[in-house]
Amino acid sequence: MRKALAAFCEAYWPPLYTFVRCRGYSSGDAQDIVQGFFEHLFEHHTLSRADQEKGRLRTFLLGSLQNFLLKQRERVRAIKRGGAQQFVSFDEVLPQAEASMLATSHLSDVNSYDVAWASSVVTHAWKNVRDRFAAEGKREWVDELRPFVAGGTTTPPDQQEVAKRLGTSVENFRVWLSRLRQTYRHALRAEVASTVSDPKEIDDELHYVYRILTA
Amino acid sequence: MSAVATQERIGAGVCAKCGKSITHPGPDGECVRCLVSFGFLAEDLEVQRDSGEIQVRLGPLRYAHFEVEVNADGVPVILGSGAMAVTYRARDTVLNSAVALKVITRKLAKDPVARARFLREARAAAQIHHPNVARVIHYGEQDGECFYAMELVHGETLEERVRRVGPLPLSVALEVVEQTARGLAAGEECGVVHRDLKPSNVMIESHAGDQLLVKIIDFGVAKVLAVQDATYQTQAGFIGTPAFASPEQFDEAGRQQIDIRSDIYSLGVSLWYLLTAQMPFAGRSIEEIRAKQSEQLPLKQLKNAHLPRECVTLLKSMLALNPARRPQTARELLTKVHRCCLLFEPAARRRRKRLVLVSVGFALALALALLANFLYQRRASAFDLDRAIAVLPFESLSSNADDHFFAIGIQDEILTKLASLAELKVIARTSTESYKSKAEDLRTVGKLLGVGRVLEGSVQRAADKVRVNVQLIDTRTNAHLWASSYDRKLDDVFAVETEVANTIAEQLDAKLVQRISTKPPTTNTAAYNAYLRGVGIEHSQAGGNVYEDAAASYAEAVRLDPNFALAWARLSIARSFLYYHDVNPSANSAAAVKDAADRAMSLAPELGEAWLAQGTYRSRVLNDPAKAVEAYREAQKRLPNSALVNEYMAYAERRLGNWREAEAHLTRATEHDPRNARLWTSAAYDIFWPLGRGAEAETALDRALEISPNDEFTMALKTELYQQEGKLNEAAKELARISKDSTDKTVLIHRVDQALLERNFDEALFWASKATSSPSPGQSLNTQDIFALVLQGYCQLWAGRNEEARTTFERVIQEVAPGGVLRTPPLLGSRLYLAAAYAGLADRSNAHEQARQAVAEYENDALFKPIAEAFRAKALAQLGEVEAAVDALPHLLQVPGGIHSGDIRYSPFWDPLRKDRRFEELLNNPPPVRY
Repeated sequence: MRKALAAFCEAYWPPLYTFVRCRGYSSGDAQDIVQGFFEHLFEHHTLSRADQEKGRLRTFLLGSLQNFLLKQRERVRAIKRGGAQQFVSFDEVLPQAEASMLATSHLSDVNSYDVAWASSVVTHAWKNVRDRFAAEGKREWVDELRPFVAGGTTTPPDQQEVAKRLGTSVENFRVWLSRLRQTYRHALRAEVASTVSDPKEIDDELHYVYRILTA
Repeated sequence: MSAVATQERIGAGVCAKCGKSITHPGPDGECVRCLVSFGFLAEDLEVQRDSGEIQVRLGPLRYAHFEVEVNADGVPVILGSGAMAVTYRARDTVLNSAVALKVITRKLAKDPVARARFLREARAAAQIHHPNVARVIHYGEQDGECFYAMELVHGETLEERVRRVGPLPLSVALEVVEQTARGLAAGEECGVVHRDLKPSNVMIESHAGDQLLVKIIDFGVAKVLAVQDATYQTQAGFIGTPAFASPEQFDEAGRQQIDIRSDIYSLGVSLWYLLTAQMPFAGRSIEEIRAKQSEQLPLKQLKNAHLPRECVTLLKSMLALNPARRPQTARELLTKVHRCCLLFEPAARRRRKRLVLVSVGFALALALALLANFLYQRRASAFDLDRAIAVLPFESLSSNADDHFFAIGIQDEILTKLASLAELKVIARTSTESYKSKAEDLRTVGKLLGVGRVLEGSVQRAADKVRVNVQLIDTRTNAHLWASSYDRKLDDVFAVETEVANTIAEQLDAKLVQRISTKPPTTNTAAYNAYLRGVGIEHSQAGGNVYEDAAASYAEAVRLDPNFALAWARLSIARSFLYYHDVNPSANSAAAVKDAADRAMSLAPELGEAWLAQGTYRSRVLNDPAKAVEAYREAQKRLPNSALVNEYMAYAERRLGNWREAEAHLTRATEHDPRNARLWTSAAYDIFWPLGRGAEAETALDRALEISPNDEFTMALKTELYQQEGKLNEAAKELARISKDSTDKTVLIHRVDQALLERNFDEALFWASKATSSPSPGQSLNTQDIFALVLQGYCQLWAGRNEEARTTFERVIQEVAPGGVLRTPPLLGSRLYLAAAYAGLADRSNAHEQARQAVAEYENDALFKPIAEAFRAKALAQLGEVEAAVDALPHLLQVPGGIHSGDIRYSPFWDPLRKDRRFEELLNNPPPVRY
């Protein structure tokens, strides 16, 4: 349970933080508010109740956060003063969330939240796949494949060269590329699926994620 | 981390892949924009969402319901790959069958025009249903890729074959071209042109007994790939592979239409390549090739192939620059290739015929499976399926032919040992030989053969070691019941066989513990290996020398171990066959057959095969069916599962006139060997039909035709059945199904018969002249040739060509009894032909005398006596002795194997009797057959 909780927080911390920051709170305040918000969610079992009727988790969380901010101004202050128990270690995601906020400073707070949300979903799916490959002893493969699929600042090397490095043929390298794609596609879909209550919404949500990130 | 540091990180982030700044980097600096594009999808995949944690498995590649197969290392199995596509071996997860899956590169798939074209071609190709064309069974698009699934061909491409073995023999090359032309013809009928026909797009499957099956792959779709591949493309959009392309494909202005004639040209280049391993017009560029195409053919390349003139003519016509000078249709090409085969390669022709049978067999597989299912349902109640087993051919894991025979020998020995247990039902080898281990769906095999258990295996021989792998499988669940691997010295092969057989017997029935004797038939390993080789040859080698080669192996076995009873028995049986068919009479003399049979008997009087050898000796050499039956009975006690013993018994009993016994034995034989077409033909022709049971005979012939579709001999028998029943229309229809070009004697004789029954004497003469024309000059005529001559004589007589008739009849007499003395050895039915010929010449006394002697000769033979009597009656009728002829008829209509109602109704032989009152009565109320 704790582990699941941590994973949940880790995934949705950045968009929530981004939103709060966009509302004009300082970084420190925003950290405290998101912590308080998580605490509030778990105390009231909002999530388990919401699970059945949450619709899209993305809009549900945003709505809840907005409510939390609106109704709990006083409490927010209290949290800030008292220093809430830290549910999640957000040290790792903080720079990313901060960067995300800055990159989307031209957007509205809701759009900012959505972009951060979408990138969190995508990144999470990717991590999942990466870990899976690593668990099967294919860490080296995924590292070599990464520039071809996930971009990054380094220029993708020549396929032939990479294949040689991995001790295989170009054909086989391409096959692995396809395999990675399919696994990742599956993961992304699963990730999105876990945030909607009606499977019919998966495709819509996926399209939204795609649109907002490539806009 | 400070805000400055964060800022720097963003500033440095321009994605090298998409060129945009990385606003939301992933854990390792990934570009989220690229990531989402990479994984974006619209396909509906099942997702597990029950647990909080997301399950992602590193699954196999999937395209729609096709799953790419992976090898032991998890690496997908690639069948082939090119610049525009990669072909995987994949599994259809719905039908659970293997397919070839071709996935087209994204570069091509993203072009909507190319994609639409691709779909159109795939659709067209899916319309072609032909054994020589690999079928397209699915087309799909997924994740920006498009793919199609094709029938999986187990074999290699022509290009690979030529690379591996060099130029192919003419007979093989012609056969390949003929089959390819058939595939093209099928495409032509569906309006599909291949446009990229070349050796790498034609696959060749090898089947047992040197049979080849050719499959054209990528029909229609190949050209879409080719048009996109820049190396094959000129500005005008040239489609195809330059070295195999037709001149009109190079026409940049696109003035010339590309049709089947272009494929015929490509097939011509391919044929050239098969024969020479070279291309007639090689070049490094399209321009070079094009320039060369206008030159003369480089005929000196063909020198080493030693081609007959006809074949060179064929090549020239296929490679004509002007399409109008090539064969215009695939059918026309087929006729030309066909003629080439016939002209100088009769062996190739024969092989082709077998192949067509195989091909048609595939088409009928579904119908057959349905029928089999019905039979299975019916049979399942009658047999305890758990104790019914089929031993499938063992796979030889080494490539040399000797090891192949060795593997078959081992399989046969295990089968024979199991068959010695009366508690089991063991399917004979003839019915299992078409199922290679692991090649088939065992449920279907189980149903077709009516067994619940199947044994598969493989054999690997290296130096003095042998490894035997076996597994026992439940055909209803495909579950492995037992599997084992034996690594032994070659000397222990017999022990392994016995061990396997005993273990399996126990698996099938717990009571059957160690029932199979572990005593080896010989202690001499070399002798045993020679024996196994003989068994393997008998069972798997195609061609006319089977028994000679097998006999040589058995002879070698007994030379190495003179006390090897089993080898003596097999030697005797093989030699009796050779004696009966007059092959190498000095080696296969009556004395040699007897000697081998007697040695087997004195060495091992308890051996079933020794008794079988006694039976075949008495039947084939001594011509004594009664004594043969006695020996077969003893054999049957020791070989309770043997279809062969039952078959031989049926023939012997029939000659003794014991029809019911004969029928029972043949039925038993078909139960143990259900996929043996010969047994069904025999049941129809030798049992049901002589007994006047036309409907059953027809069913049995249909059964044989299901196993060997389009078998001309069987179809001819079916024609005869209809003729004799007086169903002339049905007979004509059946005949029409046989190729007009058929040179099969039986077919030609039935064509003569049909024309005679229809009173079309001119046509009868036409077919009769064909039937009598073919024997090679200098060769003596066989019994069927003489019969055809007799028929021709009568055709001439009834057509009013009396002089010609006289010449023909005189020739018959001269052939059968040159100088008034019967030929030695005498032909089967010699005196009957003499009687008929003398009657045709109106030589009353000689006709009477020969007919009398013929009937007397077959006095104790229930099979031949009625035939002789029918001949005599016909001779009497022709001589105008109405009274005597009519006297003979009631008996002939009642005796099994006599004459049938359709014959007396329509045959011109009986015309002289037609005014007789008694004859008319018989015609209206024919008595039933009595037995």
